[in-house]
Amino acid sequence: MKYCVNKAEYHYDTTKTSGFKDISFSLQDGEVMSILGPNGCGKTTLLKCLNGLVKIHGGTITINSRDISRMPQSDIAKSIGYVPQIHQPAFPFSVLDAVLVGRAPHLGMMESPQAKDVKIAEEAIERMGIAYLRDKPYTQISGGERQLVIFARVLAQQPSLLLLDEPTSHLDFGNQIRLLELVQKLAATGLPIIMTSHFPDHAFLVSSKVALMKKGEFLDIGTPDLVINDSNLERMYNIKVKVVSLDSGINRKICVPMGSG
Amino acid sequence: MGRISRWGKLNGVSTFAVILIILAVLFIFSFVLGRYPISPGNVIQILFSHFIPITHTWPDIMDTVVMNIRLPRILAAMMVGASLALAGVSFQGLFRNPLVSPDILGVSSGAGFGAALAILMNGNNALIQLSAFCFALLSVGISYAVSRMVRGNATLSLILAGMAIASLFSAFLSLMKYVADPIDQLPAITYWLMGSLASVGSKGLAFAAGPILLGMTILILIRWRFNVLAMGEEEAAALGVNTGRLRLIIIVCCTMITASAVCISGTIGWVGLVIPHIGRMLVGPNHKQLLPVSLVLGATYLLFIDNIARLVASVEIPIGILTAIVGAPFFIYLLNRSHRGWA
Repeated sequence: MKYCVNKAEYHYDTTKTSGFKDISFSLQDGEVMSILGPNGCGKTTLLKCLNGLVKIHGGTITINSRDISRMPQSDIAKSIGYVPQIHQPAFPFSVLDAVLVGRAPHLGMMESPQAKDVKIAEEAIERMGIAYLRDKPYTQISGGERQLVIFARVLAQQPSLLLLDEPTSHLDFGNQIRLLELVQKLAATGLPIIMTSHFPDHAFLVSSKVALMKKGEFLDIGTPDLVINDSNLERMYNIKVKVVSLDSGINRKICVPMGSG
Repeated sequence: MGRISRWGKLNGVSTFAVILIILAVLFIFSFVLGRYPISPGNVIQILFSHFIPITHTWPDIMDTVVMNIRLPRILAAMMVGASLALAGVSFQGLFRNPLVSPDILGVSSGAGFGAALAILMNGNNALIQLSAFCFALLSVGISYAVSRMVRGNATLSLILAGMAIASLFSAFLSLMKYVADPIDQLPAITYWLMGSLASVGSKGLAFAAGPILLGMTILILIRWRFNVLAMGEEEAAALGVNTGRLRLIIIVCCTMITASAVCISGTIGWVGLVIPHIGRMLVGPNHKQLLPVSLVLGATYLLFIDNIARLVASVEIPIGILTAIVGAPFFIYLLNRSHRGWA
């Protein structure tokens, strides 16, 4: 899989310059890219453009050299999976039924899931470790469990690229870490992942690549060690931050906010 | 909690079989009810005699009562009930809201205005039906067009446009009532608005059957897609669904079937709202099972109610009144019993 974004550009309003511009990067199998940036910098819009939910106004986005602007949404959905920031359930579907929905891009308008699709959905549920929830209404499980259901759904879609919009934002501390481990595990199977995040620390934990976004542009992009540093974080969030290395066997960097003064 | 496992896939099928049998029994039994006495055996013989040769052992008048008087009405009750229930469950899925009823986009107000207009022009039954049908389509068409002009959330703007257009046509309807002749026209309008299957003839039935069957077939064929839509607009799009096109197909089908139903029966409330809930209590929220089950339940419910409407009192009770009187308490009872919120 080769995913390339070249000079992508989007503006909400033709008279204004909000949105984003000049976004370029590429991604290969097994890579995890985090996009960090302050509220309203255009992260979520960018993510929606990356799978064609919102059309870009300039530049190109290609997956395996196919331009996604020329692909029907159903073809895009076969290759790119998307997990929204928060899922609002409307009906108490069983977990299995909710996961089966992930088969939609592979089924025609008048088709419904067959035994083969049920098997794929059950495998996805198994991989998320939530087999015990299979027949429960997905409205009556915890937020963390529901996030796993949505992950199972996106896996049942069998995409070759995963987009996650702030996947940890509604989870408790433990579930955040469990989710990041899950992201790592999925990437280890070769599935490339792009996620937006508000936590530079999370980028250190899972990313092979980090993009810093501000006012619709990438300030910097590269490995976490290179990109996440004191001056970049200060430029981005307008607060003083110290990135410190932990010793005593942990061997990892963390970001310590020093205040806005 | 345990409900869904109890109503698994196989149970969904057997539930469907059970309600189909109940409908079949009620169908035969409905011929028996009425002033002219006919035995269930005779009913079955007469019905079959039109397909296979059976020696006639019954008087001709019995044949007339079964085929020309009771059959059109029974078919109309089942068709209208099935239409309203299917449109209700479809709109609830489309709008991701279990409180939505088939007239959310103004079908009923449009039809009511159309019928009143035709009554005011002293039109015959056929003209009243045609006018109700056309204005029902028109009001939904306007709602849809208005919603397309509004930027932002497509579902929300549809609901708001529907509300606005519905109240606009209600106002026009009030105007019609205001200028109508209070001796004969006003009662006719009022009576039409209360709904009745008494005047449905085989012509009206044939007129409505085409669009109803077409709309139903399409909705049943695409029913699994409702599960995808229920994930929300954006997620459905990310799952490869062309949401705009699917929404339009659903609205066109629902409008076709409700407009056809309402134009022969008048406004009948509650069926489209209550039946989907009963369906969900029986087979769960999966639209794959829910749509066919709601269709059959709707047909059964309205046939049952119409039997009451024509038999309980010496004068026929308007069916729209009965659906609410029977439907509302039953609904409250079910909600209380199920403890599943909006399930």
